[in-house]
Amino acid sequence: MVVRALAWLRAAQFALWLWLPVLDGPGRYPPQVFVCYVLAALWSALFFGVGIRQHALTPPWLTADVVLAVAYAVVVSRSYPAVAAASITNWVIPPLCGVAVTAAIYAGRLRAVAVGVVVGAWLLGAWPATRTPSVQELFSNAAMMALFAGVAGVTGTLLLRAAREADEAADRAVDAERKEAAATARDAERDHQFTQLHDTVLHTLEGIARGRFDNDPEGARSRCSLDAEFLRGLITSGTDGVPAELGAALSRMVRDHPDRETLKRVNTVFDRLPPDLPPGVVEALTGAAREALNNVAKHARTDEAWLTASAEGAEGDGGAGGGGGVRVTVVDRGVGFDPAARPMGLGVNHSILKRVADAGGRATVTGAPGEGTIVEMTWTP
Amino acid sequence: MDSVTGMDSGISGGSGSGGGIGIGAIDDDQMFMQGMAAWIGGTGDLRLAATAATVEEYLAAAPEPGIVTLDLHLHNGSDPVANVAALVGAGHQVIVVTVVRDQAYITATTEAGAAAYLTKNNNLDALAEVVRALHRGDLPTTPEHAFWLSRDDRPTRPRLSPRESEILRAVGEGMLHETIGRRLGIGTSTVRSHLKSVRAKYAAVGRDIKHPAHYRDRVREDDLSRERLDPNP
Repeated sequence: MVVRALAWLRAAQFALWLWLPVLDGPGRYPPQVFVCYVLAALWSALFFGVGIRQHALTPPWLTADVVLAVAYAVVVSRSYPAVAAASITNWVIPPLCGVAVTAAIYAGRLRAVAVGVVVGAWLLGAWPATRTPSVQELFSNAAMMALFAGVAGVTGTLLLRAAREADEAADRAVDAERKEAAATARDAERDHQFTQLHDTVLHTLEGIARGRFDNDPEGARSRCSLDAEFLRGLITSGTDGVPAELGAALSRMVRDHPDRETLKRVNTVFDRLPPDLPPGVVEALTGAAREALNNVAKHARTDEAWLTASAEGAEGDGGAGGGGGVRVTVVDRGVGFDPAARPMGLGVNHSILKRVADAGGRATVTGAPGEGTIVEMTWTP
Repeated sequence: MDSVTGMDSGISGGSGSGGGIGIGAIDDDQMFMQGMAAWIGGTGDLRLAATAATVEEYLAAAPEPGIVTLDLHLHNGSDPVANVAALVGAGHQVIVVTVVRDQAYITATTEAGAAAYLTKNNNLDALAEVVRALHRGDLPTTPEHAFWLSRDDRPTRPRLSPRESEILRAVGEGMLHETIGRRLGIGTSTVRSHLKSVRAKYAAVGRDIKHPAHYRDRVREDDLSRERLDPNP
């Protein structure tokens, strides 16, 4: 904002002089006056072009601006006749004001030095005018430059500080909003977990307390065993004591699986699952695992299966990966199948392979006669 | 069962069935012990030789070295890894059983020389299999044990070969040794020898640990970044 304003100011300062050669005829000034004018104008365009793009005027660029100003102030002013050097016909006066103002705003602790150098260069360049009647103009122009720079320095500093404070306030607001959103999400997840516990473990405990299982010790035992497994899954699924959504979903799926009559034992282990899996991925992996357990119950002729889920990073890192990916397997030790003899059923194809692939993951179903079936699913972000 | 109750004194000289495999049990959960006693009675080939609520009580009765199940988190606040080390030091084969899976303790007790690891999920058939395997002279690595060892990412973990890690993970996912052998194009006996080598590497770490307190430090260090249920609240 401030850089842009300064750029317009500088442009106007250069434009001020354009009418002079037209009015007086170009022959009146030596060629170095024109050459320096063009070069200085081009430099200013570059200087502000970069400044606007980078949203800042950096110390090296500011230094260059001041040094060049010194150069053309001396060269150009000395090219004028002594009597005209300090007058308004000398084009360097407005741009020197601009340089001084820019330096006063952006040069920080060196702003007084920079302004002093610019004003000094003006005096040095136009010093021959002291021997002419325009001596007054020489000092009034120098005073004007210093005054402009002083006012601009104070105003600019205030403006920049206000802008910075506004930025910081905006950052704080965004940060607060983000924290608020995270807290809301955490609350939602906690509520979700409480609901899960209520629907499962609490429900069973209250049932036992009310005597619902008094005549059904076997029923009580199996319910308790399911709920214990569910709790174990919740506990090991997450990090920092917060169960991961995938762990909660898989635990709940295993607990409520319709084939638990057949599938008495589902050995479930999870390790530090990623907490921020997309909901679609959690749903696909849980659904595919449910279908895999269906298949075990229907075809494997066994009452036991293994379900594991763990964080997985880069391929083959062996240990707990930090890449945000996940691996889920469903394994049984039942009758297995001969991949060559039996093509994949619709259930496997559609409900496991396609479902996981649609969510961006990979799934394979392998096996051999007498060696059970192995369903492996991986998803990486 | 607050003291060592010699259901049979010692491991040998069993009653009735002409011996069988005698096992000891250290646990302060009465319900679990009663269930286990009843179940062992029904197996035919196993026998509950001695029980105790703490490791000190168990060792004070000076039973012959044999197979012992140990609840990892006893309520007397004793250090789980030191318990395992004490029993192993007295020549016992320790089967660690836990209510809650706790990787830091599973890896540390493996280093301390525990023979096998199981979750207390009332799967007593799995316990019987482990006892029989130990009795045969095998060193069984249960799927759960393999799973947690395969998830070991402590900086101080033993260096496993890629093949060993692969096999450990496959066992942890519930695959049969035959299946793993077929998938990797190696024999079942090779799968077993890889597992033995993994266990030997863990035991080697344990042999370098001379003082039980070092185990505690290891567990604490490894566990700093991990939220864990307090075993003795």
